[in-house]
Amino acid sequence: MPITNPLLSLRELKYGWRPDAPPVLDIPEFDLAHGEKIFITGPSGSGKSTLLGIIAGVLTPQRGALRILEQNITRLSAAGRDRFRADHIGFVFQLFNLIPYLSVRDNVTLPCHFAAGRRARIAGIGSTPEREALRLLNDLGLSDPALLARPVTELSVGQQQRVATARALIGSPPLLIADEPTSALDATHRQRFLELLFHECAVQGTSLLFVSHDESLSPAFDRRLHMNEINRVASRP
Amino acid sequence: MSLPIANLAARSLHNRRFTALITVCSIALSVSLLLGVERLRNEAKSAFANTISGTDLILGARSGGVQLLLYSVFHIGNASNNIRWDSYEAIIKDPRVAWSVPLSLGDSHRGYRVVGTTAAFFKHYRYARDRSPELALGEVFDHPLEAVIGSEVARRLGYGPGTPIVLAHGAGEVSLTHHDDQPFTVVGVLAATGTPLDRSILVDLSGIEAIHEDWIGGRPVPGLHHHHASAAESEDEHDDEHTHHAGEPQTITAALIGLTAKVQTFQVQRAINDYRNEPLLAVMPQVALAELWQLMAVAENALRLISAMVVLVGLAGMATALVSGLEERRREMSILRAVGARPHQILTLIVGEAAFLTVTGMALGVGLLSGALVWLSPWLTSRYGLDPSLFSLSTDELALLAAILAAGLLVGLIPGYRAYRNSLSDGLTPRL
Ligand SMILES: Nc1ncnc2c1ncn2[C@@H]1O[C@H](COP(=O)(O)OP(=O)(O)OP(=O)(O)O)[C@@H](O)[C@H]1O
Ligand SMILES: [Mg+2]
Repeated sequence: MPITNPLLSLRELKYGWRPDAPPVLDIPEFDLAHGEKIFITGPSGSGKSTLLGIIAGVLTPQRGALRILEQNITRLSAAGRDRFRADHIGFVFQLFNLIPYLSVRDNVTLPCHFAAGRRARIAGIGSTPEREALRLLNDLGLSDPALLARPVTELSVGQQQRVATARALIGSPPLLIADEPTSALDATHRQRFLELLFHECAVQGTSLLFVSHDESLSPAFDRRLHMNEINRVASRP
Repeated sequence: MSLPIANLAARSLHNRRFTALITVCSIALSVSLLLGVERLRNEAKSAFANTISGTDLILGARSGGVQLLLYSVFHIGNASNNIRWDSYEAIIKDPRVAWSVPLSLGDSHRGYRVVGTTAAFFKHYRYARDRSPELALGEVFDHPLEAVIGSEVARRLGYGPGTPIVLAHGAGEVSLTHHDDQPFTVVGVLAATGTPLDRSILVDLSGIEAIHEDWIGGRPVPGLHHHHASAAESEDEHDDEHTHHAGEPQTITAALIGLTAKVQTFQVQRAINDYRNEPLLAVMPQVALAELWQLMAVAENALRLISAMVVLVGLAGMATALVSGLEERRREMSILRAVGARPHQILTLIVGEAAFLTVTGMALGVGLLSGALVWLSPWLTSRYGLDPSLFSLSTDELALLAAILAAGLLVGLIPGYRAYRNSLSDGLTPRL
């Protein structure tokens, strides 16, 4: 059922990677409320990552409407979608989130170079990207200066995922997309990571779209969705 | 290029500095080769052009203009025919002729050409922009069996005033017939000129005539002795005391001619070419040089083409390095896209890298060339009379560098466009 005044709403979306191939996504309706944390699961190849790509404005659906923050994303130009993404959406991927030749701090402040909106919000709270980066890293349990000075390639996977989370959240984007961010972590680190992530999202009022195969994580979320609940393609036998 | 992209490109390159260094080196080597070929080519051309100046016409037996220029001035090749002394005298009697220098070629000493001429040579021959040959040691020949040698001859053979030399017939290093009976004595050494003069031995025309007296058709005839009634009538104001020892020359190979007025060049040239008693040819040195450039253009262009190809190979190496690097950097590109980099910024990142590698390679190449020229210039000057400029770039060379940069950018577009396309099709999922 539709949410009133959602952060994100999808209607009658159809997407296929190739015009001749059968579509991967056929979603009649999908909404995300402000501040909501959704857990999305589904079998491999069911189109979860594809959906995230569409929401990010990197993939263009053949049909349907996508609205985020009252903006009709599908109507924006490619440049407009890139700018919108940079300003409003943070990402954490499964693995290899960091640019190997940048320091921890420079990895975290990287989006600020491309996103005027994030810079403006940081300036709005009277801070700087560097200070915000250190605050977020500290909140996420990365405060050791020796650790921050290390090349990112020498960090553990759990540490890398936390750096990636700090980067996704810098400049308080309203939406954070995480595509299996915990699948490379063991159970204790997974729980710890999720707690930190939830805490930061709560502090910043960020909505969370979290994709995972690990059903054990789902109870902590506001809502759990299986792909075949929203995607007509996936629900076919 | 926006600042974050430039900054990222720099750090990314630093991260791959070993590959970058190899790429830069290969570009540098190819650029220094191209510029080196270009500079030596220009230098050789101007050295050629500088070998003769102030001469209005070159006179010789009828052959090709370029051939005449080459054998008379550059000592390349041989004359097919000589011209008779009486023809020469008839030509230079023309009141429009201000001066003339007879040249008699065909003998050599240990591979160095012997030029029979008169003291008028030192007075009228000019090289570069109106420079006269100057003596470094000794004096001008004054006697039929005296010789003045070029700087290289002196240096290589260790000769100086007082050294006796024996001439051989023909221009080769090894000659079967020697004029052993008539040794010459070195009396002067010329200062270096950067022209074939440095590799020449100048003797008085009558000296050449003297050693050939008993010869017919290029071979000595035993028992035959000439009697010459009249003394040589040399053109210059030399005192006749010495020249009367030898016979009046029967033939000469060529002559340099200066006119009283340059506007008459064409008329005098026509008069010579129409000379009835013997087929003669007169050429204007500049015209023959221009013809020579045309002949050499094919070889020159081939050389330039090859060095341009080498540069292209260097740039292709860069493209290879960048394209193969892209596969490893796909993840990096996805991350950049995810944090808001536009596809055109990804393109700029790659093309910017190509530009940086090309410019660095070019700078290193220019440095390398300058270094090599500093190191080689003494040898180039002494051996070939070339004196290439060491540090300054000519406008032609700058244009060439600009063309290389443009080519580098174009080559950078190949991986750049690939990265651009990937960044659109990969979406946000980092791929391995
Ligand atoms: N870049 C691409 N080009 C063409 N087809 C693609 C591309 N990416 C994904 N697909 C196809 O789209 C379908 C959905 O893939 P997607 O990556 O969205 O699945 P997923 O639900 O994220 O799977 P997983 O849980 O394994 O990550 C798959 O059939 C896949 O083969
Ligand atoms: Mg996926």
